[in-house]
Amino acid sequence: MNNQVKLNQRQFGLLVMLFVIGTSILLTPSSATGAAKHDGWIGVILVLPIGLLYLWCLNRISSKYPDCNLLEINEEVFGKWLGRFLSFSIGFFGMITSATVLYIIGDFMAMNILHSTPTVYINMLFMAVIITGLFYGLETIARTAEIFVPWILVLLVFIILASLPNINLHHVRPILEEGITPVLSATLFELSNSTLTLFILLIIYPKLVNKNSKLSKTLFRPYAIGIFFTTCITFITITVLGDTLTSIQSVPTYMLAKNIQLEGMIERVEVVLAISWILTVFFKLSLYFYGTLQAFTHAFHITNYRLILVPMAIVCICLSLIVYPNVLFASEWDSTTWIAFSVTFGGVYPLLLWIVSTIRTRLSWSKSEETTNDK
Amino acid sequence: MFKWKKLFQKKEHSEQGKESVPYLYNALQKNMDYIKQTLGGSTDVVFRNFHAGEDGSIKLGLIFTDGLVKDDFIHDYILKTLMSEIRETTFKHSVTKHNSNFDLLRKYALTNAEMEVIEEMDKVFNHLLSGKTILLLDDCSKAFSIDSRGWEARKVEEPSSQAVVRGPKEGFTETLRTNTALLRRRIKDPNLWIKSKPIGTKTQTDVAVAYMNGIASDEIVKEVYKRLNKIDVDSILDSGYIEELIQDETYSPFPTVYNTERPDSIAAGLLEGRIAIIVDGSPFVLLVPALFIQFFQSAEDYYQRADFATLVRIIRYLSFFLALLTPSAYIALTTYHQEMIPTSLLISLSSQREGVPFPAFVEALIMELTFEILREAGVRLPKAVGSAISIVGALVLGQAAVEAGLVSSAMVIVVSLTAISSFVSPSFNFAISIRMLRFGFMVLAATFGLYGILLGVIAMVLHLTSLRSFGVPYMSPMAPYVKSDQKDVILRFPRWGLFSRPRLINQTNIIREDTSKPEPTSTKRKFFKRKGRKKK
Amino acid sequence: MWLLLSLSLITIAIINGKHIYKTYEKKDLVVFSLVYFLSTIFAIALFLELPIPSPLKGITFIYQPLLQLLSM
Repeated sequence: MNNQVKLNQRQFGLLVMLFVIGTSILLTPSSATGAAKHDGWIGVILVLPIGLLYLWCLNRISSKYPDCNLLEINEEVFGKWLGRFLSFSIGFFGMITSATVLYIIGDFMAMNILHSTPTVYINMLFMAVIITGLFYGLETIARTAEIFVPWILVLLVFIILASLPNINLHHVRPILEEGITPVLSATLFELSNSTLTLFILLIIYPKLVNKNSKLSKTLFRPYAIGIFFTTCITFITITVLGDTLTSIQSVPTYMLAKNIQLEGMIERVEVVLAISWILTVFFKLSLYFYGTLQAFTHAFHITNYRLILVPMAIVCICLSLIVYPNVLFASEWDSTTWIAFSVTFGGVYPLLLWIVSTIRTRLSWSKSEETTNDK
Repeated sequence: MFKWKKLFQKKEHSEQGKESVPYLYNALQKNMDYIKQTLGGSTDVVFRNFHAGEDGSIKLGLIFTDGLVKDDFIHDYILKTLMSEIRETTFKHSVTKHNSNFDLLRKYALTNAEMEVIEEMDKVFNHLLSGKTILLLDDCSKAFSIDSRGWEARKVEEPSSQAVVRGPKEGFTETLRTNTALLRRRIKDPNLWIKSKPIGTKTQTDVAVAYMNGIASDEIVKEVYKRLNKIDVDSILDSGYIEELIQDETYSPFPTVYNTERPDSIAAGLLEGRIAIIVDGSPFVLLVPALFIQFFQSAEDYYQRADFATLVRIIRYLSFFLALLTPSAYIALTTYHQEMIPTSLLISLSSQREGVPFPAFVEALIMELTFEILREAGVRLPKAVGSAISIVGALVLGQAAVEAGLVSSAMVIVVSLTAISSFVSPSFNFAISIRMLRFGFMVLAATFGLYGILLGVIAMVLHLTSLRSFGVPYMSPMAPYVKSDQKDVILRFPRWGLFSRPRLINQTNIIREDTSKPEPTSTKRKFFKRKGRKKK
Repeated sequence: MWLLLSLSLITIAIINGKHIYKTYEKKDLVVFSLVYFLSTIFAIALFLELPIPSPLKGITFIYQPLLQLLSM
């Protein structure tokens, strides 16, 4: 139970990839088409350059403090109390996000696979496994990712390849019919969903990952692969189902998998998609929840995050039952406040961190210069 | 709990402390009496008083444990020499000029290779009860301990637990020395170091640690010694005791120590840098660190051709999942996900299940439990009855249960599939862990369907990746991923491809061989020519 | 149902608390008990179907002026 775990670059890269794929492969097609109709997939592609830029910026911030995690940087930059308050708000953000992800799992399972099981039990079981994982520690989760990633990728590639015969390219024509504006809103949506939340990985990134990392290998490539898969799935969903059907489904990718039929031999493969999706979401939720716990641990100065693991999991389960009172509220939240919420934490907050830290280093630099001049 | 433990310890210590004599007495009779008294007059220990020397002036006492010694040896080389042959010899002055009879005996009379001089009383008992002969002298507080060990032991036979079609058919026996000899015969290298030490306050069982110096990682060797030195029990009756006392995780269904009866497996493990622990009295030798993949590797994989070995290995992994998940998948599909079963199969399944009074979970539980009972009975029963039981189990129970409508015939297929595939694993103790987990998965399937199974698998993998065996991650070449070790995980590369030792177990002496791919000159293909590897 | 919930909550508390008692300091146990107590109250309140508003509504309320500003 040592606190000082070290991941290697490969493991961290896989976690980044799973984090990006996470909920996206199931939900993005619907939200992207909802915003940009049949051009939704272009919106998802556009995320890639912006996301890479964003990651580069995050890396710049964190490389200033290579031995601190995000929360320690907080205290360093903003001082003790403000830093702790910010850590607490990150914890709050993480908790809300974890609860929504948990809600999505419970909702998906209860709607599509386990029709008669109450959502609360589904959530409890999932959270129990998350507790197991986090109790063993981050290193174990990363290693588990190493074992599952080949399976996830194989299953996803299988879904994509098996859907190819059903593709109808008429669904995506004409390209950019309604101009660029709706596409950009789809981009913003996907950005808030998969990219802006990546800042929570700064709790792990420079400190707990083995050094001499090539940035491209650790961050950029896995991110690009993740976005590539999301784009593929979105594109194929649109071309197979058409944009209207895609946008009204809550989980269009699942519908896509239901449509797969290969020569009467391979049918009903939607469970394959469900398996790979649950696996990816497991890692995404683990990371969110790990971030949440670490944030609270730092905010309250507790020795180990495992102390508050179980009670926080109970809170998360309870929250997951009430976060979305109804579906209408959920869709409205997702398309308005959530974006603002995630931009605040994923965009404004790192920016603030960067500005303040730059000012501080400048100040301390000039100060030290003064002192040297005095001598 | 704690109090009880302390209480017992105290009691034992006080018992041991009573009137112990540290060193041998000077008088022969006193020594003999004391030894006899301490042994409670056990009848298997033989006491023999005799006189030696030209005029019979030297009083001697001989003690040995009957059954643990070679009788002929004592007759011919101890008693005969001392009692008759010495008398016939006339010593020259220079030879006989010794300050004591003790030296005389040691230098000229005892014609034995392995001999030791002892002074401590507890050493006397230790040597005596492990089969050595003790020779006591009058007026001397030293004794000879002559190695005359020899007893009825099982011969080297074909191992019963891990049979192979092709490969050596020798198996370890219960005698430590035979076992170390079997290893020496395979590895004739001065770097094969075997060190032994007695463990167990009462049984004094010899436990030997064998490793290849320079190949095995020093840290792991140190760790093994540390854990062995920590052991403080009264008895070691099998290597299972040692395994349980040194394993990393007690509360885990998965074994973190490998055991085998095959000397060739152990030799291969030693050459990979693993460490063998040989326990006297047990034909099962332990091998650490043991990794997950090791339980899927059979010795025969390396004796058969690489392509066939790969196929067999894939089948083993497949049967691992089958044994683990078939009953739970059946339960999940028939209870929660009927829409996933193809229609024609669903119809025949439901028509079979129509008359079955139980839900699928109970049905599966009944059959799996029945099978486990049958298996256990088959192992324990006398061999003559065993086959009869298997007929009863297989035919009568299986068929009759279906005909009576207790279980569906699909369920019987499921159970037999699980049963067979759980025996595919080359290692018996790994199959046990699968069997235990199976019931957990069945419960999960009965409550949450496939979702439960999937989360169960995630939890299982989390547990597996959290395990370590002597500091080495249990899932090691897969997680953490080691690229160079993938050649011996799912695939078994051809022999020239297995050029390096496993990376995590062994850090220093990596290169195993420098053979290049065999290329007959007649069919030389320049395109695929390999460059010779440089030795590091 | 009541019984099941309370039993499971108590068992979890005992198992987890015992583990923490063994491995950590006393101060940590106090923190754990406090957090666990609060989370249990939350769970029970939810079980009693008390009207707990979604925290998302609060966040929406905070962001309302900003969003209106943006949409204008």
